[in-house]
Amino acid sequence: MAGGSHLAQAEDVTFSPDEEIASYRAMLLIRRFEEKAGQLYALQVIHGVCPLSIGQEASIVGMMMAARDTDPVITGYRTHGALLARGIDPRRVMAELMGRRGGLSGGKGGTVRMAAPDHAFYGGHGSAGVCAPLGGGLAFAARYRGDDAVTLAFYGDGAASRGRVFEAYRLAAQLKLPIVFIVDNNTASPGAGIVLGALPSAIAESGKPFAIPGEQVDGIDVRRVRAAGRRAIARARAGEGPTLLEMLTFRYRGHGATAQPGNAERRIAEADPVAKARARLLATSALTERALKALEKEVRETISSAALAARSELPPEPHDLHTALEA
Amino acid sequence: MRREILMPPVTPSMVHGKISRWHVAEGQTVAAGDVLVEISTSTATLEIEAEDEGRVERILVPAGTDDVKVNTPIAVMLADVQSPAFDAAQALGLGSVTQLALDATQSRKHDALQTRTHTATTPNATMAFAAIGSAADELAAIPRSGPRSGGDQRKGADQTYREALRDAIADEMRADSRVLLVGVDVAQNRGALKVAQGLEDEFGDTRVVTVPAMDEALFGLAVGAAMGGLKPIVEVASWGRALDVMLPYLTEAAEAFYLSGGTLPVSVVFRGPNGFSPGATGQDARCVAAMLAQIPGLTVVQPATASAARGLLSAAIRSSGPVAVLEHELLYGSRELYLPAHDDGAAVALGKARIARQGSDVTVAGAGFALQAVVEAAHRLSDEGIEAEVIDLMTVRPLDLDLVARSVSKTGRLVTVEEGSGIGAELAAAVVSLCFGALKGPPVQLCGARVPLPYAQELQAAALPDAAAVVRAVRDAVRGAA
Repeated sequence: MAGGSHLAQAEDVTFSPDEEIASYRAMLLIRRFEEKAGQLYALQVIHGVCPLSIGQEASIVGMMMAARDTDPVITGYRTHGALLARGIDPRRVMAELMGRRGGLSGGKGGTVRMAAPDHAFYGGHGSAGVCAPLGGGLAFAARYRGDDAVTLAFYGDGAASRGRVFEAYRLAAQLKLPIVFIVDNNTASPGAGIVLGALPSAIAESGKPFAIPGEQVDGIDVRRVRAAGRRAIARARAGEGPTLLEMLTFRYRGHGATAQPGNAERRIAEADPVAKARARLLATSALTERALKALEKEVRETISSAALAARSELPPEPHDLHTALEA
Repeated sequence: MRREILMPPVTPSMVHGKISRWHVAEGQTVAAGDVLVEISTSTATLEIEAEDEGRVERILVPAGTDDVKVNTPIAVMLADVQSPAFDAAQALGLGSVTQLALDATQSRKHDALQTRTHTATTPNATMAFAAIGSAADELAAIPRSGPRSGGDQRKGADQTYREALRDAIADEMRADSRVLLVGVDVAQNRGALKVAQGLEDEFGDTRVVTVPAMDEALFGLAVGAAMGGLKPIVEVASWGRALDVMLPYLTEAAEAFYLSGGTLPVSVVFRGPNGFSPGATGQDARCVAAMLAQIPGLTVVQPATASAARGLLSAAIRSSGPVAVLEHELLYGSRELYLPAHDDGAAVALGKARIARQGSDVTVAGAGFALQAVVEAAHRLSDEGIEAEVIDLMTVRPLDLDLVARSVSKTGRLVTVEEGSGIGAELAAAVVSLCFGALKGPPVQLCGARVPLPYAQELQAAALPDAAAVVRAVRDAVRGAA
């Protein structure tokens, strides 16, 4: 790790059996959804772009476990995982990816721009890094109303280099905004290629000029993510201002991934948050293998039927072009 | 001879400043070029030099004094020359425009519009009266009292444009606790435009929020806060300059409701001066009206008068969607430009134009500062027997095409006038399509020159449509081009 960064110290990162099961199910739901979306994208049922969160499930689920359901969430263009972790019906998300009328945003927003303010999800945002300044605004609004909500802003290591993100840090620090900046460092920003294993990085220290504390987190381990998230959120909720969390993850396509050299498969397995959680469940006997398989079957069927139902949704009518113009 | 040194305006919009330091003492003899005094405002610091030799007789305002009004005598000099040895404007190097402005201010015999009418006949008319209007108005019109609530029938009609904007903000902040004002330095210093005068006193710094000059963070904060359910008003110091940075956030605000399938409303107002101000060039001085009009989901208003400023800003704040309010540096001190030809009691509303003057021969449509030239031209044309119907567009997206088409159906002719370019093209296309049969001639578009606005006064004057240009365009339209 980069000098000066500190991984989560030896602390209570243990999950109860129920938490292990719930987090595994939440991560698996995202994994299966994204795999299905990837398939449908390959089949051109989903068009445009389709940014997947495979490999980043622990970061999303761990942070959502640390937050309240009412804490605002805003993301870059990678939206599906956060939407599902917020409890939004996979069918409506899948229908949106397919551009159907019954989609979360009526087929208007698509993967990047759908939003669900009734679940405190304030949208994906395509322009790299804009969700950081916008997140500052959500945090400002919560505090203005006298609400102690803490905003979570998710973006990638690519966006984390944009100038606007640093302005957001500076203003959040000055106003002590209740926000947690979460950089999913998936080592796969456009053009960077996929790098397996630890990559030297000090993104966690990006807030240092503004005295924003940062932490590098093992983003493969949902328990460590939740622990770091709890610290950062508690700090923000107490009025002490923003924290920057760098989640060390990596993302790879679940299906149709290009062949990796050498012992890539084993390394991917080591960095797979879902596989790791599954192994823990078995090792700790939180679930019997049979119960585990039943859970996995249930998740698989949830996603399959969501995708099937989404495909049967009608496309928007031409007159829908002129709806939702004014609030 | 004895001369007073007056507090100089360090910037065109400066109202008062601080004497930060005297570099000379009473009784001291100075040579030309010696630094006399250092003046500072919230945005600028300048050393004022002696233009000629002389002796400092008295220092009237000691160092460290804040809030010294422009044109307050700050020292008395003894000099041997006839010409003003320590002319503030020349010391500042601001040239004759500032000199004219100071003269006008010192005489205090003309109110802004009289001065404007008077000087409009001199060469360099546009620039000269504009500059006088600006500086003189700044001094005459800065509200001394705090904001007051409305209640009069035609809100804003008896106010300056600046006061009207401030009172609209105050009205809406009183009515709705979600409304707040955010900008660079809008609190203690009341913003670069002094519109926010008195607001912090009434609403405190939780609702009048000053942020450092970091535009991405500022615009993101405002749009994000609107997504979170607040109704922020963002002040910008220059639309032309702010737009480059603002665009992603403005676009987010304009798109979010539609692309979220109608679930994420974004009620935010961006307001500030748009277009030309003396000495500003290029993107600092460009008119962005037509550019903004191309962003789907964004409403764009361009108030020309105090009552329109008050009504449109109130409507913008109440709107559930994003609104860009394009003000104008040279209008802040102005009072009502015209009395609406027919006062039908209709409230000022987004998307509604207003007939500023009725006429039968030609329809002349414009918005914002350009309307000054239009109204003056209409008076001159009337002397020639041409009665122009003047339409104050008020909103440039969406345009009130119904009103324009109705007027053109009556007059048979359309002349559009704008500081930038592009709005007239929309109007011309619309009337050709909506009332082709009524047209007696082709629509005429009078636009700002399609060049980056240059610096020199003469070039600036040549780049912008003035009353004389409007008169020529209308004559051509009515009588046919020679």
